[in-house]
Amino acid sequence: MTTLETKNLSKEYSSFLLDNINLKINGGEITALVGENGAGKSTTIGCISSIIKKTGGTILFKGKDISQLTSKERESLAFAYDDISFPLDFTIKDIEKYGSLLFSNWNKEKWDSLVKRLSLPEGKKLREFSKGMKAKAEIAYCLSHDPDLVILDETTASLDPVVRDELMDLFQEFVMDDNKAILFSSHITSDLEKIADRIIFIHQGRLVLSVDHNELEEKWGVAHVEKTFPSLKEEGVTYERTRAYSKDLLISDRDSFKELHPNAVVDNATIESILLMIAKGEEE
Amino acid sequence: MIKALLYKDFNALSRYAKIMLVVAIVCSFLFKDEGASLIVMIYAASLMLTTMAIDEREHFLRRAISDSGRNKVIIGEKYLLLFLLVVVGVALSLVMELLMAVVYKRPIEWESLCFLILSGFALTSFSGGTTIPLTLKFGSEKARIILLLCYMVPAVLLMWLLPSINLTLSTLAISLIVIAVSLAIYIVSFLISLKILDSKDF
Repeated sequence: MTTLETKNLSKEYSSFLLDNINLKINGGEITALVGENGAGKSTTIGCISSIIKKTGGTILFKGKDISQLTSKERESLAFAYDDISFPLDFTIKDIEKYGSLLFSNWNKEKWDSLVKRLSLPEGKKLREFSKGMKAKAEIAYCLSHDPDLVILDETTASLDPVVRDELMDLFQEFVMDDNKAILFSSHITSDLEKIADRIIFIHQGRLVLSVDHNELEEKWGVAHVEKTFPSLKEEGVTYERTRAYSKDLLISDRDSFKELHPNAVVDNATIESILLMIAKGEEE
Repeated sequence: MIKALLYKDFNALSRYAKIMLVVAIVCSFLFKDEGASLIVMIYAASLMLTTMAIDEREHFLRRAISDSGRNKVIIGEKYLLLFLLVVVGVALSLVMELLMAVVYKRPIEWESLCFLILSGFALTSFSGGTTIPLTLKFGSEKARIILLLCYMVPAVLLMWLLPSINLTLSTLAISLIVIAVSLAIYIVSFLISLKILDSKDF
């Protein structure tokens, strides 16, 4: 089931263009949005959340235009950012009070269990929280009104591995329900390797690749070849990166490529290696 | 949603409530006349800028828009808050007036007090009505500077024009005009603020 879909989503700035982004987020999945800094990840998410006004295209949530959602339908969306957006004088109790006043389906039991699980201090003000605690509070708030789609924009960017690991477990539990989905923008590819079901690569405002994670692991590869080696699209070469004395080729079917070129050195592709090839290489 | 936003703003202003009380008491003893009421009302309305500065610092509008997508309600809450702050200011100044009348054993000039409250209401409507859209458009720091001009220009114009206007109006007529103008300011300001928020990127 498609939870969220964008059709030709565009946003034009004077020096940047988000160009016809067509993406689909399916229920029961964690979709990673990956790209270098300035690629357009936050702009895409900003357009979905309405904090950035799109210049073109449509955004559909469960088949309905996102701008036409009723208040109740809008509660099924949750957004978490790279920093908590509540007044720093707020305590955990204040966030809970705010959430219960805002959302008709605020789940107090869920909130209490998340506060306990994530060890959030109840008596302290947010200004006394560490960065990790603020991120955990932000995510606990997002999950406590029972959304169907959670969108995270670099929420875990500056967290330590321990906190990130805790949160990855939470996200995986969340999508065990096939009606729930997560769109996760991050450049910490190690986290995405652990939990992402689908990876969408954005580069210079364009969606350049959308691939199932299993397919990426089983089929994609990076071949290290001589500079004179021909880069042929028919052989599954998608990107080429020229180095000082050699070149790297991003291959969409490494087994077929190895059959054609048995002497070629081909590594299994990772999210990071694909990101580097897209960011630094040239498209075939 | 309005309840949640009001909760957030009053929570943020709670520490300023004590300051407002101190301001009210000090002004009442300092001025000993109805002038203190005006200062208390203006201070109450100026807390509007404080809430917007806090929102700006904490990127709260990003949260509000993402959670609800309802810009009209987000903006509407600010005007409701402004009105509530003005009412609190009026109530506090009335209480202080009554207390000072008892302390200094002077009669309460009800007509001048009502006139002052009405003037305060008009002034705070104007100040809040300009604060909100200016802060949304330019941010709280720039808005503070622009606000100075917003007060100075009409004040200078009034000082220049008033002597040449020969108009005798009853208190009731003046009151009605003030209420009508204040209402108009609220409405026009709300529409401008909504347009700014609708076109702004966060």
